[in-house]
Order: sequence, then structure tokens, then C-alpha cells
Amino acid sequence: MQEFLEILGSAALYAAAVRLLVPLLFAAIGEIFAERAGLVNVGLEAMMLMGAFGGVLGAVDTGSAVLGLIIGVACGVTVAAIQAAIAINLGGNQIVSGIALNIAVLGLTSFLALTIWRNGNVPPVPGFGILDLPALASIPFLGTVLFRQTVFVYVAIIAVPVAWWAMTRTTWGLRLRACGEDPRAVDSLGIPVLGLRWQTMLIAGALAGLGGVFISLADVMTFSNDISAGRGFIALAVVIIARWSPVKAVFAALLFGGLEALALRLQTTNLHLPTDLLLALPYVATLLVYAGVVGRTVAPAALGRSYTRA
Amino acid sequence: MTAAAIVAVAIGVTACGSSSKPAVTKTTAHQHAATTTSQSKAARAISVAMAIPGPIDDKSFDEMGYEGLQECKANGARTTYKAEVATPEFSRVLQTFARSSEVVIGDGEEFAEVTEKLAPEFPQTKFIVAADPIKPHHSNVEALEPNSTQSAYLAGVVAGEATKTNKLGGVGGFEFPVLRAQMQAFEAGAKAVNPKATMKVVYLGSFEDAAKGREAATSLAASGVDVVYHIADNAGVGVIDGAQASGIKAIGWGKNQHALAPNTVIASQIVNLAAMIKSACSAIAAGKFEGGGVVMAGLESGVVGLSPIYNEPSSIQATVESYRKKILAGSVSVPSIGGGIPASGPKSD
Repeated sequence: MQEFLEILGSAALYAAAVRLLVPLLFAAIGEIFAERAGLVNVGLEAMMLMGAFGGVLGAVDTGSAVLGLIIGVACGVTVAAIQAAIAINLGGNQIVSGIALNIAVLGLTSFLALTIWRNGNVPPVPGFGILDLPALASIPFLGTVLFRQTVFVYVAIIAVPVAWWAMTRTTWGLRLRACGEDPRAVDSLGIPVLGLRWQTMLIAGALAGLGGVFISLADVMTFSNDISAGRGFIALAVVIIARWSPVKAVFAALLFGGLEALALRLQTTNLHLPTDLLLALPYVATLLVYAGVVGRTVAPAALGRSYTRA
Repeated sequence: MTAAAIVAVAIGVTACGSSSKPAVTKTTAHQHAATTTSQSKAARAISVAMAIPGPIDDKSFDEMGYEGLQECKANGARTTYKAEVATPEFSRVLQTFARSSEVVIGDGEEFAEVTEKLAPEFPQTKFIVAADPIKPHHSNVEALEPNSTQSAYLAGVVAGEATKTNKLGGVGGFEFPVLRAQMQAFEAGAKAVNPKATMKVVYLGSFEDAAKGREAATSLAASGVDVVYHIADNAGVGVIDGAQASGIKAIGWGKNQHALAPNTVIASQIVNLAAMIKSACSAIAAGKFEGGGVVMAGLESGVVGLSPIYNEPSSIQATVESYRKKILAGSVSVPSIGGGIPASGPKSD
């Protein structure tokens, strides 16, 4: 039991939780933009995986982590553009196209990795190292958890209030939310619904790509098949638990990332808890929170419906 | 995945079609036989299909299965495969293969249950489950089992010698019996040379999630572990990366993984499943199939072993050699590969 409390009180656990929540948070924030504008983007996983792949490809080819990041984000945006074209312009079923993209990108990245890096021999990747923030890093506990991390963590910390502000305090955000509730009303005011939806989808692609780049350039520092390992799907759950709020998304992602980090650490204690139960913890807790704490969730009224002028 | 399935089925159908023209395929078999040395004269062209659970370039388990299949192909077999087969697809993929191929290989013990279920439906098909220590129920199923606890024991010897903190870590994909047995053998090997050594084992619940593998290695390092061993395929890449980032040593699994992180990977436990699959194919081509049995291959066959040791005193190599001899002579008892299987058995249906 003491061991358990020691783990719960260790800064290392929360630092790990932060690392595990960052990709979820980026993807979830992007998804919130898209869903608030009325788009269901099940292809989040594809955008993350493509971002992770593009990041490594770019970083290896150019020798620069920053260029790798830009290329990775661009890859995420490219996948988002396909989804946007299908969902927004062609009026296709958004869930079907998202699933199709997930399958296609999983195959595509496996294939490309195999052909470009023969037999998966990915060369050493110039990645992002730990960047201690002066002064802040020396704060006891909190410094280790939040400020001895890679630059992605700091960007995530800034991204949350920026996303909240953009969505709730700007005209653009108001219009975007209106697109998700009643696109016809938005259109009747002469505001381009399709254009706004395109913007949010590209933002979702960029942020999911950024989450993928974090995994492959700042966390694992290489590419292996299916490296996003379903995080895009978890991010979709995060969005619902967070009730489409970027601020609440932090807590939903923390719940998941924290329990994932905890499950790995609890296995090393003498408590002898069943491994499978521990590994299921994040999923079980997510379900419980969804069923109990969150209460009734009201999705944007026009979510998943394509808009065509009558 | 779907696209891959279509391609695989298409190839399967092609293979089926060409089997009706034995004259043509026989010629190819002989052409290949001429170029390969260890080919039996009686060998005929067999059709082999393989279901692989993960990607074929994982530098570990799945890649070896694929390589084994390629070696069968080089020996004249007509081959087809499907990689990244998810658990719900096991049955469908194996059925498709069983209709069109003479030999169907499930690459990993996770295929055992489905194979046993399908075997009576396809009595003409020879099923092989690679890396499965449990004796099959049906006479058209053969299990191949590299005696990997022997090599895990040797890897443990290296770790026991290399550790300074006397704390060792193990990261596994899933808590499969075969993995648990190897973790136990690794610990036994380490304790044989270093009685003070202790070991902590973490399972990821994934053979894919490299980020989680990295986090597991990082957390083990934080708890004082200075040598981490993995049996996690693709996720093991993350384990090695985490070890490198934390400045601790790592021991790879499957193939020699030294190149992944030359300053970190001090040795790799070699489990050459490819060689086992290749010889199983050659045996079938020559008319030998041990249906209903488990084919084991250990240190004596060279299927399992240890890679060269890097960045460590050369005395460790001598210690490993002495333990290798002891295992072969039977004077050291290594936990059995079936040692982690509960008496009731997961497959006693």
C-alpha cells in the first residue's frame, strides 16, 4: 500500500501522464473545432498516423526536426483535406469516409515505411529534446511535471486557452459554432458555411498531425507501424467526455493519460494486481466517467450532417 | 487492411488455380531446387499461406515469420501472406487460406485457438502454429516452438553480469504464457550469475504501442532498473528508445537489435523462428509433417541463441558460453517454455 501511495505522489507519474496526454489533447482540440462546426471527423487516427510518419520522413530527409514537424503537420492537413472534400463538398457520409481514411493511411504508412526505409531500418531521427523552462523548471513537483518537457507540452499549455478564446470570444468562433447548430441560418446571413467548415477540418488535421509528430519526433523518436496505436479514437472519446470544451478536454485527456501511466507503474509494485485489469483501467474509467459524471451530453445539432443549399 | 485482404485473396485464388497444373509448378520447383543447396530431391512445390498478426518489418517476431515464408518461397513453395491481421479477422483469414493453400501457417500462438477450431473443417490442409508450445488436438495441426526460454536464460546471464544496481526490468507485449515463461527464464539466468539481482516485469497490452513501451522503460529506469529486456515486437522499439533516453542498457529480442541503438543495446536474445518455418516447409515438401505434435528447437539447433555482446567486458561472453554448455549438457535446468501455462490450459476445450 505504501508503494502505491509513493507512486501516486511521485512527480514522475504526472510527468509521464502529461507525455501520454499531449497527443490526445492536440487531436481532441482539433476535433472540437471540427465538431463544433458540424463535422464528425473519425479520421483523426489517420491524420495522427500520417503526421507521425511525415514527421520522421521530413526530419530524416532534411536533417532538421523543425522541418520534420512542418512536414508532419502538412501530412495531417493533407489527409484532412481529403476528408473535407468528401464530407463538405461531396456530401459523403462523414463516418464512412473517416473509417476509410483510417484504413487507407494505416496501409499507406506501413507500405511507405517498408519501401523507403528498407525493412524498417529507420535512420536516426533528429528529434526534439527536453527543453527546461528557466525558473519554472525549478518549481518543486510542478516543475518536473510540466516544465521539464519538450516544446510540445508548452505549446499544448498555450493551445488550450487560445482554442477556448477563439471558439467562445471571437466572431469567427461564434460563426463556427453556428455552423454546427444551424448552418442554414449562417448561410442566410451570407457567411460561407462550407469555407468555415473547411477551415475547422484543416485545423483538426494540423493539430492531429502535431499530436502524431509529438509521438514520432519528441517521444519515441522513430517511426514504427501503427505508432499512433489508436490514440485518435481515444481522442474522439475525450471530445465527448469534455462536452466539446477545450478546457475540459485537458481533464478528460489527463484521466486517460494518467491512468495509462499509472497502469504501467502499478505493475512493478508488490500488490500483484492482475495485469489485464490494470491495462483496462483507462478504458473502464473513461466509460464510468462518461456514464456517471458527465451526464447528458448535447452534441452540436447539425453534427455529421452535410450542408447543401436548397 | 481491407485492400490487403483483397490482394491476399486474389493471390490465394491464383495459387489455387495454378495448383491444377502440376506440370508447370513442378518445373519451377526444380529450377529453385537447383539454386538452393539444402533442398531434398523428393521435394515438390507446396503452397503455403501465412497470417501474420503484425507488420512485416517490426525487427522482431512478425518480421521473422515473414522471412521464414520468404525462405520457403526460395525453396520453391508458392507463398501468400496477409500481415497486420487483427484478432477478429483470424478465423476469416485462415479459412480463406485453408481453401486455397496446402499449408496454412498462423504466425504466433494467438492463432492456436482458431486453428484448432478450423482444423476439422479442412482435413486436407496442414496447419502450422508458429511459436506455440501446446500440443495440438488435431492430427493436421503442427505446433512449432523455439525453445526460447533457453536463450532468455542466456540473455538473463548477460543482464545479471551487466547490472550495477542489481535491478532488472522486463517489458512484455501481452502476458502470454510463452512470454511469462521467458521472463522467468531471464530472471533465473540473471540470478544464476548474480544472486542479488531482482526483476520487475511490465506488460503493455500491445505489441504495437511504441509510446507506451517507451514510457514503461522510462518508469523502470526511474525505479532504479539499469538493464531492461523486452519481448514486445514493434513496441519494443519504444522500449529500446526509452532505455536510450534514460541512459540505461537494453537487451533486444528476436533478431540482433544492436543497430537500433548501438550505445544502449548490449545484446539480443535470438529466436530464429524463420529457420524453424523454413525447415517445417522443407519437411512438408519432402513428405514429413508432424501433425498433432510440437516441434521444438533449442540451443542445439541454433534456432535460439544470443547475439554478440556489445560495450561490455569480454568476460561476460565466456560466462555465457559456459552456461550455454551447461544448458546443453542438462546440468542447468531452465524454466520450461510451457512453465507459464496453468495446468488447466487455456485451450482445453
